[in-house]
Amino acid sequence: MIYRSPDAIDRSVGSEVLVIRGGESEVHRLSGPVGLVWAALATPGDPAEIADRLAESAPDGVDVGAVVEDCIDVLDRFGLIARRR
Amino acid sequence: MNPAVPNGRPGPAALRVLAEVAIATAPGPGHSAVQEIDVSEVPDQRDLVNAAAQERLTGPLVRAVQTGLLRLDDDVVEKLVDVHVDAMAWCLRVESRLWAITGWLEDVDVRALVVKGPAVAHLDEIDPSLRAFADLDLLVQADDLPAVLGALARRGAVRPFAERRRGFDQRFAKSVTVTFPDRIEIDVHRTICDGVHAVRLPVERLHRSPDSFDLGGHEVLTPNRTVRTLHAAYHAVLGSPSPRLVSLRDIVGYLRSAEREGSVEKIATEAERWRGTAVLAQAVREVQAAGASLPEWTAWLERTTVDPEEDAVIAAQRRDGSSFRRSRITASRELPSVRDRVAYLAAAALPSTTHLRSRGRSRFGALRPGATTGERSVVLPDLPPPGGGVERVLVVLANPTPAGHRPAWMDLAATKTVHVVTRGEVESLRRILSETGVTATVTGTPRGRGLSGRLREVTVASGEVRRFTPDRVEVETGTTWLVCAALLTGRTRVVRRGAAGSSGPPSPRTRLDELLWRLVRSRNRPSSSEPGLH
Repeated sequence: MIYRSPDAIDRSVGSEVLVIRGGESEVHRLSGPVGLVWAALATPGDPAEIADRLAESAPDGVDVGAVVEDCIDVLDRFGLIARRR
Repeated sequence: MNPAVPNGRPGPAALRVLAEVAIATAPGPGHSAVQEIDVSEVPDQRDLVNAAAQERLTGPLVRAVQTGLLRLDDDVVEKLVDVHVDAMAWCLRVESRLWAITGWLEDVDVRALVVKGPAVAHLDEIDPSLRAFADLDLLVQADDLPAVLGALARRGAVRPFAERRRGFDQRFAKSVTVTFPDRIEIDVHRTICDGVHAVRLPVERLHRSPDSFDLGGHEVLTPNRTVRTLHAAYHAVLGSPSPRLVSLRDIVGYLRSAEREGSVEKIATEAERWRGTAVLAQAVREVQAAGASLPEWTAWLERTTVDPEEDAVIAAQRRDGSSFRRSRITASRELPSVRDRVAYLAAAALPSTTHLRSRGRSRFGALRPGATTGERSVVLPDLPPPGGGVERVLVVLANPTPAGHRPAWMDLAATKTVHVVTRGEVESLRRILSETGVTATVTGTPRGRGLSGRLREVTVASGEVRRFTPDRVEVETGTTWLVCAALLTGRTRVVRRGAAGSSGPPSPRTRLDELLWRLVRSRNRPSSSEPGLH
């Protein structure tokens, strides 16, 4: 199960999202699919569930599952998400 | 990379359109009825973005474009989004600090309420991105003030101005400002306004039945909606001669909500308890004048009698702002005891030497009527809050032109640029200009108290700078503006050398030169062994 880091603070700016972790100073600007995955993570879920939520709005031919995995890796790298078994 | 927020003063047409946007997008019923806003009279749409950045209204402008309330050219929209992202990035940094502060204050067992910016954004807006803010305002009990300031100081916050007199903060001050090295500024409030109304306001009521919102898993407390509504009114009406659009928009949102929730009388009754009916009435009049339609508040205004003397109190407060002038004497009369009055007036008339020094002032200067103002010849328009792309604020001194006279210091290039990064420095600049009788136009200044830091750079066009570091500056004879800039920092030592490296005494050529070098000598006196000082 993946969920947003509990200390994350965010702002929607148009189609993008800005995120910062409480107590830190680095603001992350999430554009495109990463922003969509962040929005989908408003409700925690596993990668397959997140991909299902986004599949409907994805263009034809896109491997949504792979994109979601990549986005989760990026979010994870910056500590913006957490995983729970 | 995001572009820097534009600096120029927006034109009247842009401000008119922005005012319409502010009112139309304020929370509550009403904005859906607004038709498309005409921007044809704005000569350059980028001016509108400039105005929105300066008024902290990029969010409402974005919203207006998104909802079709306003049509802007594509390149202008692109620029608007960039500026808005900068503004929101700064807000997130401020909120990140708020998140940390909630933990620090738990450690010292203090409860603080956050007021204004983040509270409005999270609780009273349609979306938090509609409300930008520059700093953080915390409201604490007077007894907790030392603990809070101590907790902030331990994490690197610096207080630029010392306490006016011992005990003044806890008894009389509206707030104490501290600044972190990353320029985030915190106003720690004992109460929410200055002057007469600060004396009248029952401070304990500000803390009753607080609301809260979640911030990254931390519960953040804020005054209840009635208090927030009145605070918005007090801030707009008493905080400045004319309220900012963002403040008016806050009030419109609160007053609309009160109409929707049927709480007009509840708020008016609370205002009576604060003896601030006149303030609330003035706030309603201000938003009416800005074009907001508020039928229930209009009816309340019609059945409410405001004593003209109360309006005069407001006018005096607006004129004097937070400075210690005539309205403070009026305030002292309302203090409950003779002892309080004496202490208050003593602090007003005779601030401590430490306080004066921290403001770059002397006892003599403090006692001179009007010595701290200089508004006579200085125009100070606003700049936007420090967005992600704004590293410093420029203050450009247009070349003064005393009639029929060209003093030596004007031999430098026509325009000198000084980077000024604190309000104290701006105030020092105003004072120097005032004391020397120089007529100048300052075309930029930090907005509100949102910027802080130290002088980082001085630019003069004459090439006379020998060396400049944040701690030391060396100049050639006659480089008056560099000396002036160094003095403004309040921290920078000035070493004067002759043109050929000699250290002979200066030969003042103008009154300004004389004054500046007198100040330099005074500043450097403790270490007068420094070669080249006189």
